[in-house]
Amino acid sequence: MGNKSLYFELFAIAFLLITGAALLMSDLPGWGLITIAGILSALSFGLRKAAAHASINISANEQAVSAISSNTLASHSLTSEVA
Amino acid sequence: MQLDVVAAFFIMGACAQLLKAPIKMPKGLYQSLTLFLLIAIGLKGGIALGQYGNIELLWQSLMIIGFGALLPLFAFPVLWKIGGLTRTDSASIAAHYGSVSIATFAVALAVLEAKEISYEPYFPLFVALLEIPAIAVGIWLARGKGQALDVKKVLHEIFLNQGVLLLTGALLVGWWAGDQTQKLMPFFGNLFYGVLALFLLEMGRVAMSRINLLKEYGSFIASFGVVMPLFGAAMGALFAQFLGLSAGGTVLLATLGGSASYIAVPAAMAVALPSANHSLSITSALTVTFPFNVLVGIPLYSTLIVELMA
Repeated sequence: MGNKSLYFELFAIAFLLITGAALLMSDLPGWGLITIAGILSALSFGLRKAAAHASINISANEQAVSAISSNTLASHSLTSEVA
Repeated sequence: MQLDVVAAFFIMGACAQLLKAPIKMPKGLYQSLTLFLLIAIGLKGGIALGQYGNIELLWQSLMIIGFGALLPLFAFPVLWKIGGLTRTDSASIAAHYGSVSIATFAVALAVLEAKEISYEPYFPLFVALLEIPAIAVGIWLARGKGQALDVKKVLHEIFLNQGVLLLTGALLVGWWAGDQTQKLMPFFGNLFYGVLALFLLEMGRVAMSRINLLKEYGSFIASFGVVMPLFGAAMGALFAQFLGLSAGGTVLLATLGGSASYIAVPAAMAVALPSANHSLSITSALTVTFPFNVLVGIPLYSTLIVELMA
């Protein structure tokens, strides 16, 4: 799903850029489509970057939680052994 | 590309909202402006219907209904298979894109009249006809999810929603009253552009107030909200050529094909598909497609079609 939607977004951006450029070359209004292509690129890139950042944070948090819990377990088992 | 003066009011409302300086309109004014636009467009179309109604119009109307039913069939697989949305959400959004936006139509009328491009004056009839089939197709596409369907309530929402009722009612009044309608024209005719400007000012504010939701729904829906109107407009223009419409009529059908409903369909979908994410479809139609059509689409369709048909 992620890849398919990315390809669709890339297709949309390329389509808008090419159509906008073709219109401009024919002395027709194409700047609007080119501007929209720019906005969509920024949105697609920005939201994916934010999602990746959030996922890294979540994964780091999960690792930290798991490390803390394994440390607790280890210290608990050491304490039991000492006792 | 010259922007129409009414579209400038949309930008004003949008900028005010983005700058967090919202323009305060009295409660209920938006609703009143919608009623005004629906009645004004319906009356104008009704007068024309009395003058131009013939058997060819009946054939064109049937084809228009077919066109309205066809658009969601293209939108649905893109949303479901490529976008990865649920079947119900895909069907609901497809219905929005198969139906039409009266405000987008009003802006297209304003642009054509400003550019003095003639069009078939009975077009409001097509607007009323295009509101309905996409809703039925959307419900059909969402079938098989075990949702209980209150047929009576759904049919009531499809045929008696505010948009269809007022537009069809005003069309019939205009058609029946003929010249008598001129008495109403100082209000519904002369004030049309001023009211449309006020309506767009509010629409700009409403559209931008939902912009943060795009972050939540992802960039796919923004891309879809731009590609689908272009596809729908191309289909509309081809269909208009098939029906033998004028350049102005082709621009109007392209605009209708490219527009997405955010008044009539959400109300019908809330009843027919209560499990669909209605905020997602309204955000797509209102925050992406409506501004795209007003600021880029309509100026592009009108210039391109007139140039190609000259």
